[in-house]
Amino acid sequence: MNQKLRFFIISLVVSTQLFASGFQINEHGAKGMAMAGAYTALALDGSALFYNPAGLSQLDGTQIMLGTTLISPSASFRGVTPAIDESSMESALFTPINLYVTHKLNDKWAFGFGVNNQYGLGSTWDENWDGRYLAIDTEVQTFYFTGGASYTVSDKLSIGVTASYVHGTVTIIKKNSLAPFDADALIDLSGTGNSFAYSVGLLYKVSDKLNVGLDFRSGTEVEFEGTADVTAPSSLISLVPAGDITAPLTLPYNATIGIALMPSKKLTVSADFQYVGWSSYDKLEVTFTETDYVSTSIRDYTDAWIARLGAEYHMSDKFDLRGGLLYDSNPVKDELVEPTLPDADRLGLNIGFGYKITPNISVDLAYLYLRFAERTVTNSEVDYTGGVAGFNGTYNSSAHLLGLNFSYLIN
Amino acid sequence: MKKILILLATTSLLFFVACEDRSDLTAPSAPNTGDADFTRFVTIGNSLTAGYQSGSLYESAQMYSMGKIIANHVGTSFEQPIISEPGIPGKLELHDLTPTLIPNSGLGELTNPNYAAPFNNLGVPGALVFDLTDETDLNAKYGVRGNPYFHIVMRDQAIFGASIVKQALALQPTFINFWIGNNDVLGYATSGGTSGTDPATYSLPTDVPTFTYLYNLAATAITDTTGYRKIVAANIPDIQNIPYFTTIGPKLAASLTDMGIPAMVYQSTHTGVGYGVATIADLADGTVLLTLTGSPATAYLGDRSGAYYAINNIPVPPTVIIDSAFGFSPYNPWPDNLTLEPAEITISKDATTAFNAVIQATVAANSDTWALVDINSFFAEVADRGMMIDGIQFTTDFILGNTFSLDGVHPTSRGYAVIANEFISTINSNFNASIPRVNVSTYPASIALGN
Repeated sequence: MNQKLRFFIISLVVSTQLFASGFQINEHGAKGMAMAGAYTALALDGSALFYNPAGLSQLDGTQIMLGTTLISPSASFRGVTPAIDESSMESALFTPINLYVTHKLNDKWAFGFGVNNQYGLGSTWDENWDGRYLAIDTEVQTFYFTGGASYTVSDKLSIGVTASYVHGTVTIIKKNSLAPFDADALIDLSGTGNSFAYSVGLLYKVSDKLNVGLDFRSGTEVEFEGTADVTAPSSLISLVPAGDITAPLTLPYNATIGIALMPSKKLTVSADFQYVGWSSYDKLEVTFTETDYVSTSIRDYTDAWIARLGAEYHMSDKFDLRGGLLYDSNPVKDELVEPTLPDADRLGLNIGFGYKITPNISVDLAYLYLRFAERTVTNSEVDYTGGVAGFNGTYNSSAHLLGLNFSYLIN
Repeated sequence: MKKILILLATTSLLFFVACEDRSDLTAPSAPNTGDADFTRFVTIGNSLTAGYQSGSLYESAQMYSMGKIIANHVGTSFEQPIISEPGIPGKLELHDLTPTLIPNSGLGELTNPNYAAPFNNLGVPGALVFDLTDETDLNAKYGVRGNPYFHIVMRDQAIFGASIVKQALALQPTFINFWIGNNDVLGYATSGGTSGTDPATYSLPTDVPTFTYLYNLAATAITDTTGYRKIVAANIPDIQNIPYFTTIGPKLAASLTDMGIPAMVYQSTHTGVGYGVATIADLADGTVLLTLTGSPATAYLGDRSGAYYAINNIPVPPTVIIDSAFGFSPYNPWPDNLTLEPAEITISKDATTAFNAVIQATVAANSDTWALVDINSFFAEVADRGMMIDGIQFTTDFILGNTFSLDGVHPTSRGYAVIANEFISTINSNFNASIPRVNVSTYPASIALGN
């Protein structure tokens, strides 16, 4: 039986692309989001803690900003040939939050504290669908608790830095074939992990009409610890490993350059180029601590980038209209695409507005439609059977995101 | 204003992009079958053709009969006599990993008894080469053989033909899979050499002249002299490689080693003294084979109460003195019907070799329309060193070897897919076809669990 046990463990590899770009959330403030996230050279609200901490220096007094982004992804999969039935991801609503508190101490120093969810989301498929050995239920959540400071070097130049404590939770539910038996085991992996990350930013106001911003957010490695609970027919339970597991997961660095143009007092146009260091995510290793067995699955991501273009039109003292466009290249090679989160290059279209209810209270709303390029995989190296059979087929995905923020300027 | 225009443009772009741009996936086109025409596809044979698994014939196994796999793959219709779960008889199920195997106490039934044509799958579990051309009335035949499957698989003899071959020809087949002869040696071997299929003594494998005559009789009947209908025939795997014979001996060898006992004693009809001695090495290397049906008897080794006979309601043979140690004393040996002793292994092997020569000669004589699947060599290789196919390790190990079902003789669904691929390879290389192999791992694992 040992040989079988070993085989089983090998196939237990958590072959999920937890942190594909689909799991990276870049929407942490409705103002920046409505401008397609092209906000590195602006960073004009508490979300500067995320976009560019140097921007904290621009914020007067003490400000509180609180909000959420409602995310509703949908995905369908057709395949595996010769079966071309369609399976759909169950609908779900994710609600990453953001909270920022900033305070300007003096002309030189400003500080801020924030909480947001920089990586997260999940997917749920029917528990008996074709890809059940790859993914049934996957959910990831990370909380970034961030403290930041900015220093105004001159009228034109400010710099900023943040440090974040990262707390992550992961749940993965999938099935494993118990071949040669006509039975499946249901695997329920859950774990939590913590780590630290930092960011540095720079904001340079070249003129009244031009800003340049730079931001670097470090990657981090979260060492997840958790347990594997397994449900299987009683006659086979002895074949099935369970118990404590550890799995380090790498989150990528992000380096962003942005510019903002203010051709008139009413119009702002901004553009960002964000480079995401996904190639650091080359493999996923899960260690079963009781047996010291290590299962490795190759992820082999490539670096990705996101281009963003945004605009804001100042219609009145109370009302700002915003819009934008983004293109997000995905880091997952065709042969490694999986239904955990079916990733693809995407185009995003943003629209939103800001409204000042009083001089001190404002509300911002942003809507983002993300359209994933239809992705047909014919050379899949992702096995869905417990043997070797590529998970070929066509993925079709999109997402609706709605961002909402309240801001309060205390004075 | 300019910005509003941009926003409008952006919004309209949104609608454009939001339109579902999925291109319809189409089912893959039918494979190129070359000179092989599967329009009317018939399989003729025994349990291996029927799709028999785990001691039973039942729907979830028949769905993966070798013929059904090929028919689905080339896109042709293929009617089978579908038997509802848990099959006839109730299929073997695994209750624990000891392993404890218990037949399901339920019974299935034929779901399409009124199908108004011969079935495309004319595999009859238990069929001998004799049965292919035998025209005996099925009721009379049941009286003699007690085999329910002739009634199940064959349609009305008066309408569709009295024999299996005649019913096959009634379908005007354009392609035939022909795999017969296994039971002409297996019947003898699985009985531990205590009964057989030769018409003279019924204590040996079918004799070679009879086999030759009957094989050629059936072969001649199905051969198309116009050359259009193509036929693939498979030969017979050596019996000593199947888990039915290779599981208990090595297991017992390990127990004897643990107990420090060098050998066991089995009842023999070939040694002249009524018993034979199997050393640990004999059991481990297959010099002496014990049948899977002997598994319960292993619990009584050394017993001096006659419990093996009493509990299994077997009359104590006159030569046996039950207060001698069961399986260790010449006076109470391991039973003959659970043992294939060296002479019997030789008889089985010789019969297999002779039958395979007949099959090969028949194929060679009709090489314009016939082709041979050398399934014997294929299984010898699987038995010898295992085979990794589509990521699954196939060996002849019982249960965990992926190849054989719980009866130790018949393949699993994936095992049938492996066999289907061997047929496909032969079809491709002989009939200018290029049918892709099936991906074995996409077929379900099929060893059933008991409740």
